[in-house]
Amino acid sequence: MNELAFFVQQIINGLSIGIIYALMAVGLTLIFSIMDVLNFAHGELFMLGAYFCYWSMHLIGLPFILSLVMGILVVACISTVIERLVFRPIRGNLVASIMASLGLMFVLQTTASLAWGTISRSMHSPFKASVLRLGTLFIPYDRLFAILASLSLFFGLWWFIQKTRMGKAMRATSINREAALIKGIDIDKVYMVTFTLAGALAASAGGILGSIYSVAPDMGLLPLLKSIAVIIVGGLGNIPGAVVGGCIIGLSEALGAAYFSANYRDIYCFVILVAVLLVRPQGLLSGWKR
Amino acid sequence: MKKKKVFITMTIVSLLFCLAITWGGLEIALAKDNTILIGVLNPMSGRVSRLEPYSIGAVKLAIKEINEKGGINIKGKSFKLDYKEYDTECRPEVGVAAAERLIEKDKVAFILGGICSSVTLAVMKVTERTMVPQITAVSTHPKITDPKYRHDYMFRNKDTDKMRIKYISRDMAEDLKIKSVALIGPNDDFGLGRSDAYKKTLTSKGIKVLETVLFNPKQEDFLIELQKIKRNDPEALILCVNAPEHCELLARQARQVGFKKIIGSASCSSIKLAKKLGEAGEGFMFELPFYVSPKVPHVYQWAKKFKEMNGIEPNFVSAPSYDAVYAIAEAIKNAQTATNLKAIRDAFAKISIKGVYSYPDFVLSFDENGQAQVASGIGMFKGGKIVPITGAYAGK
Repeated sequence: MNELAFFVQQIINGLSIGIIYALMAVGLTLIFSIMDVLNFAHGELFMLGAYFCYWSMHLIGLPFILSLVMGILVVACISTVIERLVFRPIRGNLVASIMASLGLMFVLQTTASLAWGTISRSMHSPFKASVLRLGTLFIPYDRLFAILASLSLFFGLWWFIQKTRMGKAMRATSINREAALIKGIDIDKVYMVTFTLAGALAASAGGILGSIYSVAPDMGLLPLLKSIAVIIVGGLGNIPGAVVGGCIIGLSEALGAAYFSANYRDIYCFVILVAVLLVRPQGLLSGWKR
Repeated sequence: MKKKKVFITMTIVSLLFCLAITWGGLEIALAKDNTILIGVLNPMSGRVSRLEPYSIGAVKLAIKEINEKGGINIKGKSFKLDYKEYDTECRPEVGVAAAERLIEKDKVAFILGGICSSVTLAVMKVTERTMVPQITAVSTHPKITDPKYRHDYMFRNKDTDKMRIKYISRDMAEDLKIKSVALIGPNDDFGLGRSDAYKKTLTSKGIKVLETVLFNPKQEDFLIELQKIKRNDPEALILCVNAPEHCELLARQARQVGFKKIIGSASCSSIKLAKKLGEAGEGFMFELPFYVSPKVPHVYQWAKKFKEMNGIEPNFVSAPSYDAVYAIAEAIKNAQTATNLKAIRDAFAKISIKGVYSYPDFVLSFDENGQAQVASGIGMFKGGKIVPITGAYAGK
């Protein structure tokens, strides 16, 4: 593989990692922009998505795609319950919502450890080790699936927010909550749909990444930290910003690992975060409309 | 009057409760008097925890068999064998705390463990200080039985990295005719020990080691590291990994990058891995220190019993763990004491029993450094099955 091909290969690697970070970060930023909540339990919804996908495959015997859908649906239901029981009673209290999400993070992680053990599990990936080769370049099918599934979900989310009545209500609420209330928008419903959608996005990221790597109760922590970096880099509460931020973080990891040292791959994203905070603290795409 | 009745009833209930607890406690104390405890240190959580069922399954089977045969007879009195297992999380500090608990609280006669070399090395300091005999049936780090570092109470019925690598390197050079390799492993005691041992031995056999890559033990994505290695075009890739999960991730990703010859460590010698990798697993090679063959009846029968009891096929962790428990029981019987740990240690050092690990006619005994002499070979996935291609099980 020559130097140019190696570089292009790293771009492919970076984008395939970054798009998953973006998928997770979009849910996080959606909750933040509409509900003003930074949900630290988002990583646990990611973990639950991976587990339910795993169990659907290994206990019920569903194929991977159906298992993924099952995981997303179950976590969406759990998210609805969480919003109703945990976040709705403390709405408007930022400190309480942060504490509640932190508490929820520990509760969900401990419950998963107790229920399923701390042994990491691996899914029988339908893609095995197959790759799509383009000359000297290649992309594993599992990562190609991750990219295509993420892009489909982004498109679906964009369509939902732009074209549906509920999507418009969500946008209105994120711009001005009081005005939305005056216009008769059901805020409770908006919050519930937002949290459910975000949970479903986290679960889809968990199911997809769980099929590439492994599934364990603590698998959500690092993706959560990286997602927080992603949404700060892209601009808090900004959905296109989260996608761009995810790609930047993914590329920084791939190129850093390839040309500097692979041992610091988890640190590069935080270096980018510090750089963005110094140069443009409001985030790279903060000028864009939500 | 009513209050008085309630008071008397509560007093009687409390007394009965206290009596029940005391009686139960006495029973436990009496049971302890007739029971000899072996302390087991295993990673029950974390990445290497997938190996734990194979270790504890073997311990349970050996203890069950020994107790069914009447236990251990010491000066005419029969003692039952039992075990107490603690989680090390494959972390040295957790392993040390667990070892101290086993010695101080549970008063164990022997410690079996740990699986992770870093834990075994850390626990050795505790067993040296407290003079409690310890055996590891899994850790392969050279320091464990190196005369410079070891202590008199430390034993191992598993090959060292050096011994294992001696056989594997010879087979790679002479049987597989490999000319150049790259090494990849986690940046921990196992990865460092194994890659160092490989580098020295392979070079002495005329095989070029083009690159050694160490990664963060928590890492799961290796595509970039593997692509960097591939640019040097080594003939084979050697996985210096202890966690089965790393085997799976690295084997799959190495195939994606285009590596044809991959040689994993013993933790890759699992039929489950062959199933998970599917076609990509065909031709995948690994160190094979243990193999169940119908040609070796005592091992074959033992493997059947193990599967019946535990529901899983035994592996390179189960066999030496099983032998270790039998060796401990034999040493206690020979020493004729359950409490004099020095006498148990001395009897253990002189042990000589037929084991199920590692090669067909293996007899377990220890040299002056507490090290058993174990041979190994190379195996391969062929048609979804494990096939020995070099070493004693391949008839070489």
